[in-house]
Amino acid sequence: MPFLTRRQLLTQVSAGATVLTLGHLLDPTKALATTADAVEGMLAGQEPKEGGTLTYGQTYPNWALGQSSRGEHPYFWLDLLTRSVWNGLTWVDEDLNVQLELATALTPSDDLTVWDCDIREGVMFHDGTEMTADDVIASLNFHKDAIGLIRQNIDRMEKLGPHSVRFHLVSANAEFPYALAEYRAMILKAHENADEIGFDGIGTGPFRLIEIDNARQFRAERFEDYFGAGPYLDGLVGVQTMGNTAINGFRAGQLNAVWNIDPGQIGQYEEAGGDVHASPAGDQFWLVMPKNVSFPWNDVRVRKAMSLAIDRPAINRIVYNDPEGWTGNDSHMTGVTKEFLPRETERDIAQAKALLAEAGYGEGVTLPAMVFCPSFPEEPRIYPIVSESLAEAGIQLEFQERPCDGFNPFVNAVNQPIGRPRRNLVGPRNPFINLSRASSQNAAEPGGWSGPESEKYDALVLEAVGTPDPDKRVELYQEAQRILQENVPGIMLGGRRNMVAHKPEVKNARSHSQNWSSRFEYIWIDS
Amino acid sequence: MHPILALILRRLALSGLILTMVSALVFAGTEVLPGDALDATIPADELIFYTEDDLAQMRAELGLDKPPVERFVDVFTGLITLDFGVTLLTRDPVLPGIWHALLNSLLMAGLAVVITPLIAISLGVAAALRPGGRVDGLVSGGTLFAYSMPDFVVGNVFIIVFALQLGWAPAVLMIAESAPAWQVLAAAILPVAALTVSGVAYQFRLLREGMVDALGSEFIERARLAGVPEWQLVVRHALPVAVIPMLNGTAQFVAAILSSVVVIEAVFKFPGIGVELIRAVSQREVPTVQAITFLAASAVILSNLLADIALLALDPRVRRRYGR
Repeated sequence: MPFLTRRQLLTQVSAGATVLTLGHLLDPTKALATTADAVEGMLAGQEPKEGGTLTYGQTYPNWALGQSSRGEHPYFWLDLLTRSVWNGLTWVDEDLNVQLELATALTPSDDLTVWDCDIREGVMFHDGTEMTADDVIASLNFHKDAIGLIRQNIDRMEKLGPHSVRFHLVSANAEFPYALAEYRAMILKAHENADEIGFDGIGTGPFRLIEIDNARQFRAERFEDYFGAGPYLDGLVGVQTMGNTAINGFRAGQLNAVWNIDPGQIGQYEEAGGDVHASPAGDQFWLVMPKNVSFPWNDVRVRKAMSLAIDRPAINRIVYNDPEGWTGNDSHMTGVTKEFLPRETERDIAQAKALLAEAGYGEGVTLPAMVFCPSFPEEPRIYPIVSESLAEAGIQLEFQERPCDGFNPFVNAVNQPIGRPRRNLVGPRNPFINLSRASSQNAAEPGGWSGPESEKYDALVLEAVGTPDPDKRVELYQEAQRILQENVPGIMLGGRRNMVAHKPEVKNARSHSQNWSSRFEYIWIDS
Repeated sequence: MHPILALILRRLALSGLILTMVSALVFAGTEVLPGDALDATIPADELIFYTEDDLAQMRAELGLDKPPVERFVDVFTGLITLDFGVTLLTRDPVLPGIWHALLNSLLMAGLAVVITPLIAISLGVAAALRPGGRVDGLVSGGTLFAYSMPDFVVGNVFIIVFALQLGWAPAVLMIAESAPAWQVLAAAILPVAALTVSGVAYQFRLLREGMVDALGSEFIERARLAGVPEWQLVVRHALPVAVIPMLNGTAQFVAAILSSVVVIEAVFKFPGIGVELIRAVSQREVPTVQAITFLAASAVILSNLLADIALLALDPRVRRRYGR
């Protein structure tokens, strides 16, 4: 099973390498691969054994929906690794290609505004009932109320049969199957009270939820009637492991895997007998600069100066031991995809100072503090590098750490709809979902960026996703990224990879660039 | 009324008075000086996000526009009726949010408070059997060293030694916050052990001093000359005298353990009130900080009351003094 050692990590990656080389821009004329094939491929040549429990530590405090004390819904814990308990209609593989999971076919209309979905028959929920189109519609209606990605896509749904659903979209979308693979787009069992759906934790996934404490941990057991291959483990336990708890638990043998390890601890995991698997990309950090308040960065020259001053290669070098890693291009795009458009200039302090002087800050400028929470263990080591490199250009920017539990309510408590200056997390996705995050429709992410350029950007992204030709779409997406680089509505640091450490006897525990697309049914323990 | 009962009632009344003063201090510390709860929640550089009208509205919602005396009465009434209000950020009731964590910490700290004097007495007796001997030297030296170690060092050393090296205890506490008491106690073994270290050291030193004094006293010397075995002298005669100053030390230990709990819970990731306090302070959740501070102060007052009553039960001199 392939994994990266510390040495390999340093030597394998080359600058700007397109690690994900497959054509993951969806071509609507082509049939999608299925998750079952991917699982089969993963297990090829192996003789998996049944039994054992995977007890994994998760360093990411995934309270993305708010605050753990308020999170009664199981998603509050599992909103990242949801595929242990649930499944989606689609899934995004490690190369960021979308595949069919609970869907068996997804067929668009010629104008890409209507998608027909056939649903796998004979899929059982954990309570022994069969999943039908009613469950799909109930689930996505539930998500439609809460999740922007689904809300922005689906206008309405129509049941065509017991295992068939038609999606009427808000506008043409060639990449719609990606939206159905989102971590909070899981298929839940329909509930007579629409507000109660999902609270029972019943899904179709390989493991059945038996206990959950949203602030700390969950336990699940093997689901014997799982529709796909596996699962091979008897049990699955996930535990929040902050600080040194993860490496301590791994050393003590309590944890046989840790998701999202601290890159500074790779050596320690290896010394503890662990193997480390790194995915090509991972969650990234996007700096949100609210422009609806009188701040110096309302002037685009200040924002451009910031982008030119931040020493992103230093972050890769110091924090990730990955000096050749990609750097953010001030869009939400991930640098290992072929649509990614690198910035023309990586770093230029002189130009940054000149821009500041032009903007009237020749003596330097002090910006409002940004808040962050240490969602990933290395985060507190990143921002001092950002601050110090900005200071070289005369820009003073302080980063303040806040607890992750309650971080979202905290940042959104003021200055609606944008909130406080902060860093947001960005997962690697298909271009439309990624680039639409900087749209003016989503005020928070671009910090209230508006005007003709913003409108042009919105139109370009919408035109792109409505274009059937994948090559033409790439051109339009790159044009959109150029606009972002000229206007810098936000700043992307970039370069981060997700990493999983696991004991050698744990097979197929893999890091996925999209944390939430990690799968568990093919993991087995060679005891 | 029996004089002892009157004494207990006086102590209770005094505790009530202290509780009122604590409430006043909590109120003053979090609401009056140097600003009100809103000022504490919003740092100066974030005022840019608020208009004067926003601030006035928020002050009205939080009752901060009332006169200080009225506010204090509100806060005090809330505190003594355990109605701690709602959180500033999410408007959720404070008490349900910290309830399980509070119980878990009570279990952990309670166990530590019970175990600590027992260990201190055992060590004290062992050391007193041969003052200046090898055991005395070893225990006295060890406790002096232990007393000088900060809690976070003790906690981390315990994890390294007992969890990572010896594998006797878990390095990761895998329990839900609302887990049953037996599960919490089972998971709390190492944190409790870490909590007792400084307390045992302090109480041992108090006890040993008392034991040395008692064993050198005239009544012990007479008993020794009368042929009473040494172990009986120590356990039956010297210990009851020496344990009295240690009891006062135990009451002080309860006060000290509250700060230790915050550190130890953070080190072990124990699902207790210390972790909640850290979070509340970080989030500037004044009502939650008020609630935890008040409950902690109440625990200290209660433990002092219990120590006074225990002293009455154990020390005939005190009974005689107040019984007259």
